[in-house]
Amino acid sequence: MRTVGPAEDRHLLAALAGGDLSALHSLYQAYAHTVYQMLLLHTASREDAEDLLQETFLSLVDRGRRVTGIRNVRAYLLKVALNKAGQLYGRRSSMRVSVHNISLADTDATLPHDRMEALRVQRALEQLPLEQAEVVVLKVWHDCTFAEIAEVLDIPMNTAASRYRYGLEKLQRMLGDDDG
Amino acid sequence: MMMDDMKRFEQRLRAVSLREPSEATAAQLFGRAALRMRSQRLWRGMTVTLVAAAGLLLMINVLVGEFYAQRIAGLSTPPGMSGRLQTRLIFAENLRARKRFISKSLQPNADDTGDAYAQAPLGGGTEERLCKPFRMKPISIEALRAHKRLLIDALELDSAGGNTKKRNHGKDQSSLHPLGLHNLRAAVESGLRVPGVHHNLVFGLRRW
Repeated sequence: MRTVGPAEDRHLLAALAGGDLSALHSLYQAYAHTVYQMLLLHTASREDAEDLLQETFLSLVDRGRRVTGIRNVRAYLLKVALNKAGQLYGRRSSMRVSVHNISLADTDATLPHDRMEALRVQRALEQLPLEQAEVVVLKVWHDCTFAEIAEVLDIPMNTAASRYRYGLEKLQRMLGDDDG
Repeated sequence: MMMDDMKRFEQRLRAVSLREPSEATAAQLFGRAALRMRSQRLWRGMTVTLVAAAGLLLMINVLVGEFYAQRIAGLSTPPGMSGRLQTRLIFAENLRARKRFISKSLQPNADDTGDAYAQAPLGGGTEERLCKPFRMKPISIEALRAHKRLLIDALELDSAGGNTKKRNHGKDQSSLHPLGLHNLRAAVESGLRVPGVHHNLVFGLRRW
């Protein structure tokens, strides 16, 4: 995953507004990973998540010149992705079942001796409530700040922090045997 | 959970790699994005062309309107006023002017005879004053007098209509009396025409 700063984001958005497709490529490289994992948490299948990922990035193209008005690209993309997932699946509660059907951890890509650990993490993440799992994924794997998470999920910052703490504690209880 | 434990556990989780979208997704996305950008450019170009064409048509409309407005009005446009606006003002003025014209033309004289009406002076600058509101070319005094005769004839149709003074609370407003105006209109509409009267005046009365 490539990391970009706000200044570079602004530059890329300006280029995209001018019709530069390579700017979209750069933004995809930077944020597709994060958005995709959030979509995996919220959708029933990899196919749906990938379709919604495309739609999410196409929303940047659809904004045309107004795309330069976006302040935080990652937060914007995550919010669009969650809205699109909500439109596809209706209310969030109806999606909870689906979380258990997908594999969030990349067990195919990991080395054999890491594969067991990846499977365990995946299973533990699937057992977390969705609200806690999404905060943990955003914080641990994508270094989102609590402020950013709060903005994306429309929750107070303290709620994001407490969900993270509870989620992490639950994960540690589930994976605790191998810790340390 | 202690802070150190938490940090250590976070590190452990970070070591696990999460799924990434497939390469096919990226390829598909960029293909769709390219198509969408092209159609956006097309729409933008069409919009610009349409707006430019609409602007050009509007400008032509204004210029042509200006030209005809000045021709119809037969007046030079005062500074700061477009010919079109002037025409509108003239139209608005027309109704009031018609009333004034009829009213002035039909002021009763002392002997209250048709001849007296016909001989009544038309007032200073008559030609211009009377012709201008009707957007007509100046006509001769004779023609105006003939037209005045027409109006008097029309009013005489109303003379049997009763005591207009009484109906108007003691004020002599017979020339403005609705019955008079109705009869005047009826006379004009029935085809009463005087040779030499400018057709615009008759037309104006018909519309009135």
